[in-house]
This record gives sequence, C-alpha cells and structure tokens, in this order.
Amino acid sequence: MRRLLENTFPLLVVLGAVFLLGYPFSYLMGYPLAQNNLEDRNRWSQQIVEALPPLDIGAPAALRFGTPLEPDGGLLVLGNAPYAAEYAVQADAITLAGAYPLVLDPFTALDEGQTFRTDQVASESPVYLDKRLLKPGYEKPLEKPDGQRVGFSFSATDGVFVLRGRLLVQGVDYEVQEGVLTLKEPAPLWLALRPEADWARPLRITGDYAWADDHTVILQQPKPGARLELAETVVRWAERLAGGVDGINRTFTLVHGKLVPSDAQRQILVNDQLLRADGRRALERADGVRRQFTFPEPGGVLLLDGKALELGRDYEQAGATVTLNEPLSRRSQLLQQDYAILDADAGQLLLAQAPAPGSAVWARRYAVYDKPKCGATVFECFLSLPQHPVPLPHWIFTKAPSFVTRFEWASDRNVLREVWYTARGTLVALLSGGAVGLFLAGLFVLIRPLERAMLPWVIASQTVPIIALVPMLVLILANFGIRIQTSILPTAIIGGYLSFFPITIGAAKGLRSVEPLALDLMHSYAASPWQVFFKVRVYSALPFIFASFKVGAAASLVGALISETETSNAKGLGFAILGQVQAGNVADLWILFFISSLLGILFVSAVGWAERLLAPWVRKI
Amino acid sequence: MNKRPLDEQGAPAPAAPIISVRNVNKSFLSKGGDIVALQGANLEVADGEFVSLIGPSGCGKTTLLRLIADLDQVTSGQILVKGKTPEKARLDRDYGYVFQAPVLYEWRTVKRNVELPLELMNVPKARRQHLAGQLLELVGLERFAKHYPWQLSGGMQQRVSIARALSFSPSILLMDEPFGALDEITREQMQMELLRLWRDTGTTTIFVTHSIPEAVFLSTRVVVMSARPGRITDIIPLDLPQPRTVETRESARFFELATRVREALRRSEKDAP
Amino acid sequence: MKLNVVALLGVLLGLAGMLGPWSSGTLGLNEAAAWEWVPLWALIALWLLASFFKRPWAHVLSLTLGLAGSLVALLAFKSMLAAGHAGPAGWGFWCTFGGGLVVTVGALTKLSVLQGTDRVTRLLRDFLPPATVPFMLFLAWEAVTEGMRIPMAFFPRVSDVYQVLISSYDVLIADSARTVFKQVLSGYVIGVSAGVFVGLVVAFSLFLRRGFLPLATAFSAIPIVGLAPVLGRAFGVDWESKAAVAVIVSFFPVVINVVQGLITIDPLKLDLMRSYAAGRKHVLFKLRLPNALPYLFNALKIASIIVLISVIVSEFLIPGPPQGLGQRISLSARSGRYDVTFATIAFASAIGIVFYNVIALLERLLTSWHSSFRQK
Repeated sequence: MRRLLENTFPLLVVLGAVFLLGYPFSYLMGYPLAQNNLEDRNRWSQQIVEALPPLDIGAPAALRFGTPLEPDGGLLVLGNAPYAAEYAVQADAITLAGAYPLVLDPFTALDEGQTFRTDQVASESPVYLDKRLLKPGYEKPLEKPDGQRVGFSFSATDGVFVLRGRLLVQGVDYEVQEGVLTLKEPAPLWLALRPEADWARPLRITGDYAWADDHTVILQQPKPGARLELAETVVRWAERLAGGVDGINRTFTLVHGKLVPSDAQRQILVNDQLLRADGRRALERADGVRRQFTFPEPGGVLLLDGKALELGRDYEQAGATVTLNEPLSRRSQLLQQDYAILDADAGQLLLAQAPAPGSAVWARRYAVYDKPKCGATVFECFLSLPQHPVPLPHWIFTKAPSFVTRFEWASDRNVLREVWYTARGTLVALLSGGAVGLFLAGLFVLIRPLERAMLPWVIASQTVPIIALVPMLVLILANFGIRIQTSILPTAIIGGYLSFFPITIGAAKGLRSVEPLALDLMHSYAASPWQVFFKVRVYSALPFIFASFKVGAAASLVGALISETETSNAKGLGFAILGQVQAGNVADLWILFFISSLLGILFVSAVGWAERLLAPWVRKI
Repeated sequence: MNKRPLDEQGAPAPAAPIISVRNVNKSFLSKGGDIVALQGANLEVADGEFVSLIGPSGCGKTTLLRLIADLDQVTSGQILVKGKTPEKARLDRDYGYVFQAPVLYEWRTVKRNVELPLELMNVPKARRQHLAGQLLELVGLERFAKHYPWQLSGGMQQRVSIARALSFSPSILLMDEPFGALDEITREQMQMELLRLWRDTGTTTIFVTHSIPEAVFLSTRVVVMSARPGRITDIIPLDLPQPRTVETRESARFFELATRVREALRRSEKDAP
Repeated sequence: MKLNVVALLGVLLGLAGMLGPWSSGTLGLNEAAAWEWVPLWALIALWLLASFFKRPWAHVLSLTLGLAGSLVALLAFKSMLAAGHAGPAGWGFWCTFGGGLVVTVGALTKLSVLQGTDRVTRLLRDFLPPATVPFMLFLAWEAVTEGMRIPMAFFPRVSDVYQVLISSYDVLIADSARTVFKQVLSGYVIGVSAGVFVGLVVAFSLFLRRGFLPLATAFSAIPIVGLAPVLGRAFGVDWESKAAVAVIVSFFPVVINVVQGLITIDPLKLDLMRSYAAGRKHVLFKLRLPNALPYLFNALKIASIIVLISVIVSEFLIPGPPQGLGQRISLSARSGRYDVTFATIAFASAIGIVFYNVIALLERLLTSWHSSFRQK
C-alpha cells in the first residue's frame, strides 16, 4: 500500500504542476489577441457627440442644459443653422431674447404610462417627459432573429425588455436564465427591404426609454399620468470648433479626440453649410500614367490614400480639373472631400476652404471612440475573449460533462458512441496490422535473403504518408463495391499500414534473439524446425512482440482517427475532431484531445495487461 | 612504486598495520529480516603483505573487501586504512580495486580505460599517457592500446583492469576473485604475473578467492572465513619461500599448507550453526 | 552447371508470351515492328543461356537481362499503343513481361545465398537485392497501369509521376523548404534539446522520475489527430503550430530514452567510479553520458521518422497557407491529381530517408563502439 502511494504521489504532484502551469500558459498564448482587442480602435465602443438639447423646456425664455456652457466654445443652433436671435449664456443656462421655436408632438399613452405611441416616425429628436429631457439607451443582443430563434444573450437579465413595439412580460412572453433571454415565441424574421432596425431584436432598456418600433417609445419606469412629448424642432447647444476664423486658416480642432474616421453621419457645418463627410471620386480611372483628373466639383480637399495633398506642392488645380505632379498608380485612391481629417486622435480637421471671418464653424454630430469593449486592462480583455487559443485548465473539467451529454445516447454524435466506434476501428487495425507484421516477421526470419532485400524498403515505406492516399483508396474500394459507410476496411488498411512496421521489426528481432544454448538443447532433442519455432522462438519473442504491439496500438489509433477524418463517414472521434476544428470551441477540442489520448493510453495498457496474462514469466526491470 | 624488503619467510615486517579491522559487523536489511553478512571480524594487515580471503559462498569475503574499500559501510565496528577511515582512504585514493568482471568502458580504447583513474585525478595528459603506456607494458598488452575492449579476450580484459587499478600506484590493491572467469591455464599465468607485479611494486594486496591452491600460491597469509553468519575463523601464515615459481606448486610444503587450509575450511563448516 | 529453375521458368514464360496476343486485335508480337521483337527474342535466348551458369557474374548478368527484357517488352507495348493498337494488354504481353521479372527474381535468389565476406561478394549479396527491388516495383507498376489502361484520375503511372517531378521540382523544393526546414527541423532540434535537458533533470531526481516518466510514456501514445487541432488553435494556423507538433513528437521519445540511458548502468561501473572517489560531475560526463548515447540515438532515429510524418499530417489537419508538402498532397489528392500526390510523396519519402540516414551516420560516427555495430 505504501509502495502504491509512493509511486502515485509524485505523479499527482507533476500532474498538478502541469495543470497549474496551464494558467500562465493560457494567458501567454491569449495575450497577443487580448492586447489587440484592447488596442485596436475598431474594437472599441463608440460614443456619439451631438448638439445638446435643453434639459428643461418648461420656462419660455430660459434654457437649462445641465452642463456648464462655454460661451466661446459653442453656439446655439436651430436645425442646421446657427440661431439668429440674441441670447445670453450664464453658467449652464441660456436666456433668450424672445420665444424660441419649439414644436412638440404629444405621445399617446397606450398603457399605464409605460408604452407611448406617436404618429411621427422615430428620429433623433429628443423626448421630453413633463418638459424634462429623457435619455435613451438600450442593449442589443448579438443574435439576429430568424423566425425560429428564441434565445438571445444579454449582459444582464434584470430590467425591461421590449420587442417590436411591445413591452415583454416575464413569465408570459419570456424567461431569463444566466444572461440568456428565452422567448416563448420566436422573434419574427425581418422582411422589409430597408436595413434591419435594431428593434427587430428583443432589446433591454438601459436608459430612460427606447424606441421599440418606428412609432413606439417604451419607458424603463412607468410614469402613469405623465405627459410625453417629442420635440421635433428645438434649439440645441452645439460645439464650436477651435481655430482662427480669419479667412486664411483652414485647420480646426474638435473638442473630443479619437474620431472615428469612418463615421458617415458626422456633421460639420460652416454657418448653415453642411460639409459632407464622404469623398467624391474623379471621372477618370487611374492607370499608372495619367496625371490629370476631373472631379464633379471644383475645390475641395484632395486625399491620396487618406492623406491630404497640398495645393501647389503636390498638384495644380484649375476649376474642377486637377493635375498631379506624379502619375497615379492603379492601386491608389484619389478622393475629393469637403474636409479631411488631419489627426483623428486629436480631432483635427482640414477644411477645403478657409471660412470667412465671422463665420461659425461648428459640429452638430460626430462619433468618437469611447473605450475598449473587452475591458479596461489586457487581463480583462483576456478573460472576455470569445475564443481562447488555449483554454484555462479548469474549463476542460467544467465543460466535459455537458460535452458528453450534448447528444443523446442513441445518436451517432454522442461522444461515447464515437469513442466506441474509433476503438473498434483501432482494434481491427491493430489485429490486421499485427497479423501482417507477424507474418512478415516470420517470413523474414525463415528466409534470410528476403529480409535483406526487403528491409530497407519496409523502413522506407514508413516515410510515405499513407494518409494522402485515403481518397484514392476510398475510390478504388468503391470501384470494387465496398462502400466506406458500412465497411471498416479503410480503417483496417490505413491503421494496419501504420502499425505493421513496428510489429514486423519487433517480432523479427524477438524471433531472432533466442539464446543459442536453448536452440542447442532443442537440437539435442532432434526437434523439427517447426517444433523449434513454436516451442522456443515464439516464447522468447513474446516480450519483443508485446513491446512492439504497444507501439502498433498507438499507430493503429492514429490510423483509425485519420481514416475517420478523411472518409465521408460521419462517425467516430476523428469526425468529431474535424467538426470541432471547423466550427468549434477550443475547450471542446482539448476535451477531444484528452479523450483520444486516454483511448491511446488505454489501448497501450491493455496490451500490457495482455502481456502479463499471456507471458507472466517476463521480468520487468 | 613502493619497494619494501621482505624477509625470506614472507612473514610481515614488524611495523604498524596498514589495514586494521576491529570487531566489524555488517548486516543488510531485506524483506525477510536482517541478513548478517559479516560478524565480529578482526584482522590486521601489514604493509607489503599479500593476504587472501578464502571461504564458501556467503562467508562475507567480498563484503569485507567492499567495506575496506568504502563501497559499503559497516553496521558496527571500526576499519582503519593507513590510519584513516575507509572513506578518507577512498577519497585520498589509497587503493586500487579490481572487480570480478573487468568492468571496462566500452566506449574507451584499452589505453583510455587505463587512463580513466588518472583523468579523474587531473593528471596532465602527457604524464597520463606515459603512465598508461608503462602499465600496459607491465601487463604485456602494449600492442592492444588502441583496441576496444570487445576485441580482447576475457583474460586480456582482466589484465587491462589490473593495469588500470595500478595506474596511479596505490599502496593497497584490493582484488575480488579477479581470475574467477578464466580457464585454468590462463589463471596460472595470471597468478605468476600478479606475483611479479607484487614483487616489483611492493603493493599490499588483499585477494578474495574460493580456490585453495590459488590462495596458497599467491599469499603470505590466508584468512579462512565461513558462512552463516559470515566470520573469520582462521588465519594461517604461509612460509613458502619467495619468489614462488612453478616448482613451488609441486613442493611438499605447498601440499601441506593447502591441506591445512582445506581442513580449516572444513572445520569452520562443521562449526557453523 | 546447376540449372537455375526459377530462371528457366522465366524463360518459358517469355517464350510463351512471344507467341500470344499482346493487345486486343493482334495475333502476336509479329505485327509489331522488327526493332521491337528482335531484341526480345535475343534477350530471351540470353536468359536461357545465363541460367545455365552458376558463377556470380552470370547471376548479375541474368538479373540485368531480366530487367532489360521486361523493360523492352514494356516499351514495345507502349509503341504498339502509340501505333494505334488500343485496348488492354493480352496475355502475351503479361507472360513476356512477367518472364523477365521471374528471371530477375531467380538471379536474386541465387545471389542472396552467396557465401563469403570479401567486398565484391558483400556488394552482390547485401547491396544488389535491395537495390533491385525498386526497379522491379516501378516496372511492374508502369506495366500494370499501362497494360490495364488505368486512367490517371484513378491511379497514375510512373511516367506521369516522373513528368511531374521533372517539370515541377522547383515547386516541390519550395514546399520542402517550408515544411522541412522551418517546421520539421526547427521543431526537431527544439524538441530534442528540450528532451535531453529534461531527461537530465528527471534522471537525477527519483521524485520526478516517478512523477514524470509515466506521463511521458503515456503521452507518447498521443494521436496526432487529436494533438494537431489544439496546437493549431493555440499557435495559429501558420508554421508555428506545425513546428509545435514537431517539438512535442520529438520531445517524448528523447526524454524517455535519455532517462533510461542515464540510469541503466552496470552497477559495477558505478562502483568503479566510487572507488576512484570520482565527483558527480566526473561520473556524469565520463560514465552516464557516454552510456546514454546509444539510447539517445535510438530515440533520435525513431523521432526522425515520426516527426516528418507528423508535420505532414498536421498540415492536413491545420488549415493554413497552401504551401508545404502536406498541403500539396492534400490539395492534389482532393482535386484528383494523383500524379502530383505521388510525386510529392516520393519527394517526402526521399527527404525522410535522407534524414534518417544522416542520423544513422552520426550514430555510427559517435557510437561505433556499441555492441549493435558488431557482426554477429
């Protein structure tokens, strides 16, 4: 008993150490991905900066905005133009000379003050509850509705859920469990031609309200008796860009940096003129030789592959025609824009034309990068990786039970059934390879010249990757009427091919390593060669044969697995592995890896037990 | 090389013993209980002597030799080699050990095998090679210096191991049935060689054997041991004249001494519990 | 003058074949051009002549003539196909072709029982038979595919494969450079070095021996099919994952064998060192390491074979850039270009053989003293 403990304790310690080492290893392998997620701006959440509507529209001439207002840093705008009339800025409030144009559309309450409907179409217009501004906000799940899907994942499952204009009731319309919302009825498929609206999916309201469809607003907290109004026209406080307005300067800077370069809804205005964010292409195509290009409009900023070109230094312009100093290569992109982003991180823009003195250069709306979606540090991003290159060790154990029970027992895809199928294939391969190996070994021992001629080529045959010939093998077998789906022959051939070699070598060596004295003894009894073979050679060969069968068992397993991956047979561990390679979860791959390794270990041990049973006299040092 | 004069009778010259064994016991732990390999051994060996340990299997003669060599440790009692503990003597490399098997390293040539102990003692290369050459000459194998061990016969390999044991001129030579695996004719030749070496170098030698003629022919004293438990039962001085020759084997005195040793052995068998 | 029975059988077959139909619609070889059947008759006559002698040179001659005869028969058949005679080969062709091979086999059996240890005899007995086998194999392969008119999409001919080899060897070399040098060699070197290092550490700690060795033995039974995908996920689909496969596959056999070699020592040799009061460093360098070398090389040889196959197989299993021997094999097999597949396989096998023999040569240089090199 003590010996057993003595022998297993170190093993357990080493296994434990390997397990623990898995954690830093997993972190190490996942670090580059996590770091990328952290630093790649494309993976950051975005925030929209837009002109502020007043918090309070109760008082006729006073507007409160809630944040301190910088008189020079902004201006009051109405729609797409600066507000014409006089106004005074004081701290966070603005007083106007006269009444300001305010167009309000009331909502109709559909229920106890939570669901409201309007005839207007949903827009960016602010919503006021009893004259106070409400903030919208919602969380959208990753999954898209397809008419059949009922499960949608959210970051939290408490709160208010809406779908297609309706407030969902827990227990009646849905159930929640651990971050997954399960609807009673599937979310309907989006059939309209226009791009899918966010509210086609179930939404979780995170702000004060959310638009649940084109005409419906649902509040997070019901406010019975409240008056909800949509402010179609209202003044707003917009940000003024920094930079000298002197008729010469063209460079202006936004307050917030980290601009999203691809923001198509960015609205930068000079007075009431909207500068478009998109670029226009020339009429002619670049061919590596041409230097003259015509644009739809004169003026504008020229961008070559995103970089602003300088008039005079890089090109000449005459009206709408531009002549470059260097010909344009075919791969380059030349765009004409109303303004160019000089430095997205700093929020610096270059306008096409210098605004005249006294103009207002302001921004109505633009998007900036907020923060990484995955977390604040590399470690957090590591933990939130959707796919870890190497899973954390304990996941393999926690995910194993669900892996086994994923498919029911009767199905071919059930793991245990797959294991059984592969084990069967391995056994057949081992037996066939063993038969061939033993036969060849016997042949080699009896006919020495044959061994000399064939042995180098038997060795060479092992360097041939038989696996490549599996498709060909399948075709040939099909020609002879043997279908792979029902036959175990391909497995037997491939696995047998991989295992016959070590068995041949080992058995031949064993059959030869008989003690000369033992042979002499047999000769003194005038035994026939067959008797010598079976009574002496075979026994002395057994240790070698068993040792080589262990190697052969491992090889047969590899052969069986490979034939399962290559043939179109949808059974076995090989098939499962292939499936997971193409689609799957890393933890599942590791589980399959352990299962297949365990199967290999089991087979090798089984050979060892067979040896102890059949050749008990062999002494292991 | 040590040359020490011996008187005609071969009796030890009066001086402090070079090896002293006092009340030494050795037991081995095993599954079935303790095995007493050696019990109450007492022995003193003077410088320049040739002492044989003889006895049946299990009498502890190899054990005693290994204890002196510090290849095993005593359970109780004291052994002094040149006035030091066996361990210190071993670390000071005071003796050379010749095993039952030649124990040559297959990957070294004959000469390099002889050089092995000298390499371990950081002897400079030129001197090392010179010494090894000399020793191979001494054992008559200088022609095989560049051969590998497997190319030599058993007797030759054993000669190489003797040359190796002498390579660093130890004052003591411990030999454990070195000629056991050889045939009679080769053995007698080897015995003559060994005696010649002993005379030329004056090395104190302790020689384990189970052959009575060998023990009588080679030694100045024979230590008779018996088994169960292993112990020393008799110490017989041999007064055969030196140098011993082929004729010595046929002399009457030789026969008498051999008979005496044989009787001592038989007596110890009978006395065994 | 002893008759070589087997060779005579070959002669008879050859004769019979000359009289039978060679392709559909012909009565015999007589319809072929004279330059085809004249040499064949001559060769058959020579076969007969050579079979009557028992000197080694006669056997060598017989062997060469047998192969030549089969080759000429094959060429004659091909030219008949080119001249318009269609269809699969008739029994006449098979008999004559087979006759040549039988003559060759007869010569081989006589050669392989030659007695003597002089260089010439050794050359004839030990070297010639294995060297002849591939020639016979290729002739038979070509004859079967050509004679039975097997379409290339089913099984390519030797000549097809050869065509691919000479026309696209630069592509194959580029593939090999990627597969072998970047993936196999780097993985092998790292795996072997790590194996030796860990082996040294484990050998000297009983605790680690008990704890680590069973794991190592168990893990040498890891199927590549399970290992490759997880490494592909861990290291990405480029060459690093395949090199990682190579590292793992070479690591385990080396560790196990190095530990075995360091501790499986004759106890008397250790006692010898102890009697010389040798320090641990001396014992390591002068006894344990040289003793372990044969074991190490055993592992190196095994690993050298396994590592190449494992990398090629992992190229199948880890989808990556379409270069490399494994990818070439996989892609060509899937698109039915079996001639390319075979050409690549031949290339890979050649590399494997060279690799193995380099290690074996190194083994012979460094451990020539070992008992396995002595003649029994």
